[in-house]
Amino acid sequence: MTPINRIVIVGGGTAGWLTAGLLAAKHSQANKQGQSVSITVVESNSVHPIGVGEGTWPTMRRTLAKIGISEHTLITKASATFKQASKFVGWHHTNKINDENKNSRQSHYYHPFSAPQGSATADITPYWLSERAGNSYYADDVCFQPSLCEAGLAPKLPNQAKSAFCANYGYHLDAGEFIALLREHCTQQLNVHHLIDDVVNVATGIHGIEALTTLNNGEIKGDLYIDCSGFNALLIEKALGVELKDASHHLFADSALVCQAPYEQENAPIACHTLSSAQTAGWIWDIGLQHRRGTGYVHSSAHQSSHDALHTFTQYLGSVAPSLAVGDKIREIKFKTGYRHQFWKQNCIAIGLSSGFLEPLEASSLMLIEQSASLVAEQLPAHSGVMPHVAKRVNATLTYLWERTIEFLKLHYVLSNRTEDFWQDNRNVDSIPARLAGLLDEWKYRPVLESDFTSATEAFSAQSYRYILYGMVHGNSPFCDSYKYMHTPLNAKFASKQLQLNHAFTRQLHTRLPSHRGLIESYYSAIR
Amino acid sequence: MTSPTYVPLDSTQHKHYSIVQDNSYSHAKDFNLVNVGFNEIASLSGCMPLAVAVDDTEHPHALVAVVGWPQFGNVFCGQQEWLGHALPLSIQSYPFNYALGEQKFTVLLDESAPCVSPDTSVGVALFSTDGQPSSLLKAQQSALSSLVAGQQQAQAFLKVLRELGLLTRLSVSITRQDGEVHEAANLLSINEEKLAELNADTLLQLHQQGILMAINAMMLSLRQYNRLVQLTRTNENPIEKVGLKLISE
Ligand SMILES: Cc1cc2nc3c(=O)[nH]c(=O)nc-3n(C[C@H](O)[C@H](O)[C@H](O)COP(=O)(O)OP(=O)(O)OC[C@H]3O[C@@H](n4cnc5c(N)ncnc54)[C@H](O)[C@@H]3O)c2cc1C
Repeated sequence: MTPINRIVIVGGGTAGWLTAGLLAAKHSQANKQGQSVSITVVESNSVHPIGVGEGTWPTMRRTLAKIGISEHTLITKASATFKQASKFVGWHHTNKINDENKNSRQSHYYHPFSAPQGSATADITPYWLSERAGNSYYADDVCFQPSLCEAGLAPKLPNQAKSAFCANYGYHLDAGEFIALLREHCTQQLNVHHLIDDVVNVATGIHGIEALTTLNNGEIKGDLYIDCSGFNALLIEKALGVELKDASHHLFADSALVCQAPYEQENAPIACHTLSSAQTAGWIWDIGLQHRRGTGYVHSSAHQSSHDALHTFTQYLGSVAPSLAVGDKIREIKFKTGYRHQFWKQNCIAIGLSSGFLEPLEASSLMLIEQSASLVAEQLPAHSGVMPHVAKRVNATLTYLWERTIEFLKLHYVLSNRTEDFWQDNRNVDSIPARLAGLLDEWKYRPVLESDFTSATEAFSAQSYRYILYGMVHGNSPFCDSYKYMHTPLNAKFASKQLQLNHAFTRQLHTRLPSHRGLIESYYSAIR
Repeated sequence: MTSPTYVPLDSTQHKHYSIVQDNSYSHAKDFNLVNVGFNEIASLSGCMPLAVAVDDTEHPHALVAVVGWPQFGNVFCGQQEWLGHALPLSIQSYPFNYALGEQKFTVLLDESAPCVSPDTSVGVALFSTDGQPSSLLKAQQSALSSLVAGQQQAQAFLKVLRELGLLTRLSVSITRQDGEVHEAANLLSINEEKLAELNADTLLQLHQQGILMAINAMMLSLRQYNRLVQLTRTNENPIEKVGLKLISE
């Protein structure tokens, strides 16, 4: 039984450094007996990090707080901006909603990070379904955030203001700058050892990995190895032979065309949400950073040729950044959809792209990295003897998280009524995970319940499901009728009050909040 | 202090302007009386006396908060900060003001104010570089709209007080440490006897309009003269005593 004193992380992408940071923040200080855990990150100089992954969840705020990186540092050093929601454009066709000033807008809906008005007390969805479905937009009715996003307003007041109001938010950030920031912080503040070298061989034995051979620094040994080597999956797959559990029969995308596009004007407004626009065979993300936007077309090569996909993407880029000479700025990334049969095998755990990949529709990758690394940091086994117990539990937790994530992503596709092959195939019953299919069946007869999602580590809450499900209901959707089967009263007085409160609160916020760019600029202002 | 040069606020012309926030509101350090709105009565009445000022023709023309005396200036202006828990909107709005035209509300900026800077290197920007108002400017815009609304309501309020004959002269005398006494009777307050004589219907109506509460708050606010007295303590010749008298005409 060897104590776990040396952790070796292979890979210096976002996964490697976030994991190093979370582990070091908890374990690299010496305890009373003077022992500490040494953490080493080995990263190659020739294999570069993937350079995408720029949308985060609100969980990133806690993660960075644990690691010890302030919001001010993130904003000023990683070009970060605020993310309040995802906005899905063109994912479904609706009959136009004849609400004043809403009838001209394209079909779209929001998945905001803030919870609905009054949801801490009761869910007002049944009332909304009975009174408003078909005439207005769910998220706009129950939450102030879509309106803030439409107006380009920030989620909070600058620091110098004396108000505590703060909507829930995550970040958009520049992946390259974020890695540099994490690396600097981990090596300078958290005592993480950094080795720039290529791992050229991995020696294995009955207990798992025995040693790594590097090109210039000889052999490296650890008590726990963390595979953050990206799609390479150097340790978990190449050395330990754990394969991906394929999920491409649920989620069809296997390619992304990505491009960093400039703003048309230097001081253009910055979107405070991730824009996700449905296309012929996939969807395009559009993320606003401080000085550029990050975009990408996630699509299925089985449903669109690469030539046509490029055309779809350049058309989009032409509409948002007409002056961009796209040509060589577009790069293609191929990926496999799936996750490891085992994330933690023997003395090795995979975190990040090495552990699997799901299309970034809800920016779940970084969240899964945060979750995995936090689990390891929290449950770090004391010695090799107890490692199998921890591994078993972590595997179960992560498998659950990945499965639920697949279901939640699939939900977006299942509810669409687009007619291209890609979209029709996505509604094929064989492609829908069984648990999701069951829930969808039930939700025709009752609204989404908190108790549909009961795990302590649930990634997507009932509320997230409501934002998508009721955001995408159209015309005579069976989900609109679910309230009719309920035998309990709708609590109309409470519910209509919440809708009014949301409306009033939204109006008030408009008179107070600065623009998103205005908030960002306050971080650079001399007066803070 | 130079006289203000108010110009309409303009997102192009004032694009790079900023404001150095002054927590003691020293621009108001010589004020004794400050115009207040009807909507400020509730919050201010627990902090400073509220009364009615008269114009040259002795016509009651403005609802005011008393913040000091000519001999002391504004006693709420401390070295570092404002010494009250409430702040009149008109002081808070500085260096902004408003003009009301036909249906139109124009925000004005005093370009000559010492806290106004034509660049953003020193203070808090009025606009972000995307041309949108900053939260500071938005807060000021909201304050100005409350100010307008409140002052319009104040006029209606004064009209009611006049019509019901509820105003009477307030005489305030202060005695300073060295024994010097000053007396002034330039303000009006509520005539409690007249108020007591109002019939039930009128009282009910005043209550429903929220006016009765404002009247009570104004009467109670006169106790805040004691707070003003306390705030003169740091003066070398502070006020020892204040005396209030309502003079029925
Ligand atoms: C198209 C696309 C869009 C995405 N969008 C999002 C998003 O919006 N939100 C989100 O949360 N996530 C997103 N992701 C996922 C996100 O990019 C990754 O989860 C994140 O960047 C972590 O990557 P990584 O560190 O695991 O791998 P990489 O960034 O690939 O890093 C791998 C590291 O391993 C090192 N390495 C590899 N081989 C060796 C070797 N032999 N020796 C030494 N070192 C080695 C490399 O040097 C590198 O440092 C997206 C991914 C893709 C493909």
